[in-house]
This record gives sequence, C-alpha cells and structure tokens, in this order.
Amino acid sequence: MKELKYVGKSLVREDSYDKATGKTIYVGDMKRTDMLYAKLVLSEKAHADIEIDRSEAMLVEGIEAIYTHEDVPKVFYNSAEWYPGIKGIRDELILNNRARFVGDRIALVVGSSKETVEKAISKLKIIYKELKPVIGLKQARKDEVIIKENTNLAFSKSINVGNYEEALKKADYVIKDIGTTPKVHHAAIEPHVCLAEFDYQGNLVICTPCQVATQVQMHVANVLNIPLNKVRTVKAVMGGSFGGKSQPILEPIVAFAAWKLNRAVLLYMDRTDVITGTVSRNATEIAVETAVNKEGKILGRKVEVRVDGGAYNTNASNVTMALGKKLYRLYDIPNQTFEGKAYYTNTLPGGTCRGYGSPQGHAVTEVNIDNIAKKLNMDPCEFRLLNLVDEGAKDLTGAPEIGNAKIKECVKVGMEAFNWKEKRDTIKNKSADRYAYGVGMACGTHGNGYKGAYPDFTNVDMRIYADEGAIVKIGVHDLGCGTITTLKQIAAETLDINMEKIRITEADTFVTPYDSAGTQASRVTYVCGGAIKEAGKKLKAKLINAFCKLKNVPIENVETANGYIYDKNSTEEHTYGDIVTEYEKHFSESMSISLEYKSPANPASFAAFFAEVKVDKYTGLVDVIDCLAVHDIGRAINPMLVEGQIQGGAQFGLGMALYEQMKINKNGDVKSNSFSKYHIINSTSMPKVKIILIEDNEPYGPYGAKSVGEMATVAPAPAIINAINFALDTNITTFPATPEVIVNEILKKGI
Amino acid sequence: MSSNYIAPKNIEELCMVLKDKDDRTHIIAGGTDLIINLRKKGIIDYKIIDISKFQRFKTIDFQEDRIIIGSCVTMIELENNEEIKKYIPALTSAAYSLGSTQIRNKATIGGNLVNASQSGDTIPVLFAYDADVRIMNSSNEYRYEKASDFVSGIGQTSLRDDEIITSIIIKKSDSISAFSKIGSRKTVTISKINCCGKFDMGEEDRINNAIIYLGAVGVKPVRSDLIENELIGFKLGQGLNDGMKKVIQLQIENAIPNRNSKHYKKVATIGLIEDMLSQVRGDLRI
Repeated sequence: MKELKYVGKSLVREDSYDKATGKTIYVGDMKRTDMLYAKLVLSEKAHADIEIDRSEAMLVEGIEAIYTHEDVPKVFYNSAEWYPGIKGIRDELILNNRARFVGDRIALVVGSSKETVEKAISKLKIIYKELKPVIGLKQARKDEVIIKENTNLAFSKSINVGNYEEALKKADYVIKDIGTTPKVHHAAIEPHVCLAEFDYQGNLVICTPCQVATQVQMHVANVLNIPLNKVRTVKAVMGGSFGGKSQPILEPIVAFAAWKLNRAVLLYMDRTDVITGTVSRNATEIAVETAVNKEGKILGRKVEVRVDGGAYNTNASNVTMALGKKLYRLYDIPNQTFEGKAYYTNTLPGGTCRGYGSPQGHAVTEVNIDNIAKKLNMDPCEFRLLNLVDEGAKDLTGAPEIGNAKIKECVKVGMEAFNWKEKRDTIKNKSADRYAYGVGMACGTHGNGYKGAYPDFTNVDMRIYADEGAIVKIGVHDLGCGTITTLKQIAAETLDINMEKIRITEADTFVTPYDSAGTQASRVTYVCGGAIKEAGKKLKAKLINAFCKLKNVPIENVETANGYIYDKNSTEEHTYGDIVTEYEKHFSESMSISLEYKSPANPASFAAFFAEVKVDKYTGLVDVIDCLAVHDIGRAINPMLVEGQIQGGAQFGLGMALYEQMKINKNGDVKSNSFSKYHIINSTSMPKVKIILIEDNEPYGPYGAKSVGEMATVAPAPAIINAINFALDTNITTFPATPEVIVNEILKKGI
Repeated sequence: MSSNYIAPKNIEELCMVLKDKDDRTHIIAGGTDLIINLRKKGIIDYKIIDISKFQRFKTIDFQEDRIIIGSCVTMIELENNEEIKKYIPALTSAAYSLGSTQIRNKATIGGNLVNASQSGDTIPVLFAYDADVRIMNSSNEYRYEKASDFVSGIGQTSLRDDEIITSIIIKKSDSISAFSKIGSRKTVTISKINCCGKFDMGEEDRINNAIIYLGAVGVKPVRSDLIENELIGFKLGQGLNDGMKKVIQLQIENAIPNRNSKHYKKVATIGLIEDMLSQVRGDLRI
C-alpha cells in the first residue's frame, strides 16, 4: 500500500493558535448594531403554575420586551427530533405557564444590556402555585402524582434474543446486581449562548454553537411557522458541547425574540442556568442478572433499565433503546432480554450526552461481569476473553454487523501493557491500615453513526480552484474535537493536495449541502469522512481524466503529487490549477463534484480500560494512580486528536465514577448548581491516561477509521468501580462512588 | 456601575464613606465571596467600598511578641510567607488549601473571617491561636474582640454596619500547629470538615498540651475537648489507636447528633486528625 502523507499524522489543529491566544470570536463575544441581550427566567420550583407580574420590570430603562407564556406561539415540539421523519411525543413550548422542573423556562427578558436585563429580572414578581413534585424514579413509578396525562411512564419497550428463561435452567450460577447512575452535567466550558438576526437576504439567521444545524432550522421554522428555507442556521465556534448543545434549547426562543423585534438578539446563560435549565445525561436504575455455566460461559442475561427522562419527553425512547442495543454488541450472549422503561419526573429533562446510553448500560453490567468472575473464581480479564465478541460477529438483534471487532485484542494487549496479572495478584499487599489498593478493568462498545436505526447520509460538494486550492462544502460541526483538521487530512490524502490548500465548511443551512443527522452519534469521521474520501476519489478521477483528454496521455501514465499532475514519461509538470483552467476553457466544465454518500455500515468501536486506585478508608477519597485505555479504532486519522479524545473521555468517565452527579433534593431543588458544588475531576486529580491504539482497519471507514470520541467515555467509570470493589472487597454499584458511598460500604462490611 | 464603586484613598475618606454606608453598600477586599453572593441573590443595585488598596491593611507585621496580619492580606501571601510558616504553620496550610490558585490570589484573611462560612478554612486556625480581631468604625475608633467571639454564627459576626476589620493579631508562641481538611475531592473544594490542632510539645515527641478546633460540624468551629484530652501525652510517632478513634467519633457524635452527615464524618474525621498529625510529624521531622 502506498505510504500515506496526511492520514495517520499528528498534525496540529488549525484553530489551536487563535483559541490559545484568545483571538477566537465565540458567540458570546459577538456584537451587532443595536443588538439586544436576552436572558431566560427559570423556575425556582419543580412543579408549579406560574403567574408573572412584569409591570415593574417593564419600567426598567432599556427593556425592550418581557415575554411569558401568553406571548409565544403555542406550538408543541420535541427538541430531540432531528429530522422531520421522527415523530416524537411533542410536549415542549418555548415558554411555559406551568413549570415542570427547577430550571424550566417561564419568561424571557430582552433589553439593551446585560445589566438592564438582570435588573428587570430582579423586579419581576413571580407567583408560584405549587404542585406536588415527582422526584426520582421510585416516586415516578408510584403514579400518585402524575406530571403529564395518565401515567408517568414515558416509554416502554423490550428487546429479546433467544430464550433467557431456558438459559436460566441450564445455568450453574445466576449473578444479580442492581445499580444506579446519576444525572450528569456536560460541563462544557462555554455556557449555552445563541444569536439571532436577519441578514440582507431576509433570512432569519441563528448563529449558534450547535451540533445539528438542520435540527435547529427545523424547530425554529416549525415554532415560528415560517418556511425552512428562510431559516438560516450558522454553526458558530463552539467552546465544547459533549451532547449538551445537541438539541436546540435557546435557539427557538432567541429566534422568536429576533423575529418579533426585528433586531439582533443575543441570548446568554450563566453556569447555574446551564446546569439547571438545559438537559443532562439521563439517570438510570439498572437491574442485571446473568446466567453462566461453571466453565465460564455466559448463557443468558436479563437487563431491566429504568430511565429518569425528566420533565419532558425529549429523548426518552431514543436513549433507552440506544442503551439497550449496545448490550448486544459487546459479549456473545445467545439469550438476552432487555426491558427498558423511561419515566417523567419533575427534574431536568434528559438529553444527548457523550456516549448516549452506553456509559449507563455498561456501568452496571461491567460491574456485574466482575462479580461473575469473582463467583467463578476467575480472573475478570480471562472471563471476559471467554465471552467477548469475535471479529465478524453478528448482532443477534438484527442490527448492523459488529464488524472487525478487536475487543479481545484490546484486553490481551492491555493485560500485557498494564502488567495486569502481577498487579492483580500483588497489589493488595500494598494495602495497609488506612489505604486500600486495587486494580480493575472494564470493556465497552459504541457505534459509528445511525445506519440501521435512522437515515444516515451526507451530501458533499467538492471543488478544485484554478489556484490549486480546494473547497469542501459539507454540513459538519466541529465541537472542539478537531473535526475539520481530521476531515482535511482525509481530503488532502485523497486529492493529494497540501492540507493548507484545503478549506472545509462547517454547517450553514443556507450554504452547505444537506446532512441527515448532524454531528452526533459518533458519525462524523466515519460517515462524513467517508463522504469526503468518496468525493475526493471521484474528483481526482475527474481531474486525471481531464488531464488525459487535454494532454492526450494514457491514464496508466498519469501520476500526481502534492497538487501536481504529470505524465511519468514526460518532464513537463502541470499544477492541478492549470488543468482546472484548461478544462473549463476547452470543455466548458468545472472541476467539481457533488454527491450523496450513504453510510455503508455501522460497526462497533471498542475499548478496554485498566485502572489502579488507592482508596482512603477513612475519608472515602479515591486516587486514580494509573490507568490505561486500549482502543479498537480501526485507524487513527490524527493520533494526537485521538489521544485528546481518550484523555478527555477518561476525565468524563472518572467523574461519573467518583464525583459527578446532579444533586436534587425531594423538593426538586438542584443543590449542585455551580462548579463549587458540582465537582468534576480537576487537573490535580486527573492521572495521565496511557493509551494504546489497535489499528486494524475498519473495512468501511475512511482509510480504515472508526469512532473514538463517545467510545472513550464508556469503559473508564466501571473500570474504576471494579478497582475500588477489588481493593475493598465490596460490591459498589452506585455511580458515582462518592466518599460517603465508599465509607458507608466500609461501615456495612465492618472493615 | 463605576459611580457605585468607591476606593477611599485615606482613613478620613474611609471613615466618611463608612458613615454613609447603607444596606446596599458592601465592603470588598478580595471579592471572592461577595461577588458570588451578590450574583446568587440577584442583587444588581449595590455600592462597593474597596479597602484592598490600603497598604496598611495588606502588610504582615512581626513584632516581638505578636504578629499583626492586615485584613487584606491574601491567601497566597500567607501561604508564601516564611515567617508565618515558622510561627503559625497551620495558617500556611489553611491558606494553601483554600480554593484554587486564582481564588487564593484574591481571597483575604479578613474576608474569610467576615464571611464566617461554616466551612471557612482559616477560621479554626484563628480560633486555635486565640487571635484578636482589630475593628475600626466610621469615627476612626478601634475595638478588639476575640475571633471566636467575633464569629457568632453561619455568616454572622459582631461587625456593625459602619465597621471594618483592619487586622488580626496573633500572639507569638513556641507551639507547633497544623491544619487539615476534607472536601468532596482533594483540591479546589469546600471543606466538609476541617481541623486545626495546636500543640505544645514535651519530651520524646509527646504532646503536652493540645488545642483542637473542628470546623463545619457546627455553626462555627468547635473546641474539641475530648480529642484534646486524649492527645495529651500522645507520642507523635505513633498511629491513632482504637481508643483515640472512638474518642474522635464521640466528639463528632456530640457535635452533630442529629445530622445525617455524622455517619460519614465520624469515620472521615479519623482521617482528618491523622492527616493533621502527620503534617506535624513532617514539620518536626519525626
């Protein structure tokens, strides 16, 4: 195979310098002539009918408008829908007169400055007629207080493969565990922010750090009842999302204000607004029972999952099913039943969050896997190796094939590199009076796009200009992962043009071609990267063909290098640009291509995560001393960016294991509504993650690549919990294992 | 809001603005608590008197028998001061473990005391050292009060509307001391519980006399006589024995008998005391 020039190289992201030196303009920095500022008023009660007296607030100088429920269109929508073919349960309004969670939107204040707006908010008289709130899954299930119509049950579905009951009969052991996972805040450093204005072409422009520009366009057009082609969503520079900015939250509201006032309006949030008033990872309760024989083979498994969907329907069905489906793609389990139920509660609605169901599903099942190994007196890695999927495995539910699965190799390579066997045998010798040491590991899987579940295609326009530069128009969104750099590497490799000469768009619904599903579901490198490779291949063929026609050269004699094309038997050199110009002149055609690329597959990505922990038995605080992530990635287009994803994913996963949770009391008040009370893993607590990439070519991915960004946040949390359980000989299944949880377990055991 | 910001240039000006001070006027030193509180309460209309520009509130004066710490001395300044480390090691440690570096660059000792948070990190140290607070009013008159009397409850002090703290006075001694804390994570965290121990040492590294204050187990740091008594005669080289652990647990039980958090804190405090003693061992090279 020809040596690759760009793919596989750790090239520096083009946006690094401006971001590091503070030159980058984020939406929060934008200014427009006569621009207004807007801020939402969020409910302080979890369940209440709202009356607002705005008379005094309206008197504040500089206030343009104060909108409440009575002013806004009564168009219900479901912000989690991302294309018109999904018909979810639509129960959201842009402003509400009944608050269904602390943080629900009840008014919008618009004025000439932030100070003006905040002054007016302080003068609003809000009367809450409180209703009994439903907090937590236990209360939701009782159906004593009902948030919506008949029941708090928002969604229910099961998946069946084989016959679990039969498997039970043959089992030597059945190992049961019940665990919980928390609502997690995304903690992107940029709070939600959005700008709406009219452009000179009469478009209502929504400038937003979003993940799915077409989704924003669809909801704005729907809520305001204006044509789709008059709503222009421009994806702005983003200071992180992790799923938090995937479904439109601010966009329909700011669009409404700009449309009403015919002025540019910037809607901003502070951290507390973002924590309480957007969305979070769904909390879950998971009961798992696994039937095994004494030889260590899993015969069957039953997983019951209850999802806290929060106050609105949003993604209740999608996240529940996404969680369930992943459970069929890691281990070879012939008989498996999944029962998923989602419930409404008077808490923050669930939303997309990095990993989308995988972190929750694998959290409790991976602890269960360790417990099975313990019961069988087997090493947990050896037990996994007996049961993990093999290369070419089929998904027994009928979902797309699992593909070139290298998870067994991940485990084997990881065991070796981590010195697993020896550490597992000897680490406890380090334990003394106060500190207990342990090692643990876990595996996880995630997908590569939507194929098999939802439409998964993207359109791309690619053109080479007369100056050799190329432009790739595609509706992608760089979420801060370096997506544009990655895609440029693919384009440069395919076209054989220097990367500096390639430019790639981010989504702008007035300009860029259609993309079916946005930058989510770990589909961008795999699907959009695949599209760019396909378009590049075709465009280069067109260029070579043009060269042959223009210069009368047989195709087998043509060679290209770095934007030059030549006949290998001639010394004459031509730039791509020369050919582009001559081709236009002589054949009246441009050097461009447009295509629609349908994702050819949806294989699984995998990872194994190994961790060593030191547990303080008095304070319950845990140090993660060492960790190793081994990823089955197909091929790293840019290893440095892949490493960034894995380090960051581990930071998120460690947070889920140890600290991160939205603390909501029985009244629905959010106690962890700032970073002083919502702890993430900070730099002093974050170990350096050692990384090994298994690059064994995903046959349908561009240059063999498959996903990593979401995958990276799946296995770390259960690996940490397994290490803690090994250190203390406990069975913690509660995420996060806070100091209180750990000390409580220690007290229970009387260690 | 520049017109609502006053930075008096001298004591006369300061007295004048203190005289006019009303409900919506706040004294700012570091601002690390004040600004957050104002924002949290949604207070927009306020006036600020900035005392952080006064050089005399920013100095640490080491006199023969006492140390006078200006109220606007920051945590970073305390943390980096070698003399403070020598005379009041617990204060160095408390200053060092408060918040993040950015917060410590701004946060002041006077502010930490006036904010009177249950979890305030320097407060148990000031109590353990029996520190005096020097207070000035709008008539340029001074009064002194024990820090332990000055703080009266959560967020409550005896400071009157027209008063500010000018300095904190600590008597020099040969005592050794240490501070430890436990939060939800290791660094940049609010104390769930903290502790200052001040010791007079005797022969063979034995503790002759101990003063222990535990923070965040009451409205203000509580003197922990049970632990103190148990530590008298304790040889620093030893670990905590079962009897001591029991006493520590009893102390917490007495402090917060009706709080759910007691179950955790009863165990965690053993670690807290152990950390504090281990700091002393480190300082004494035991």
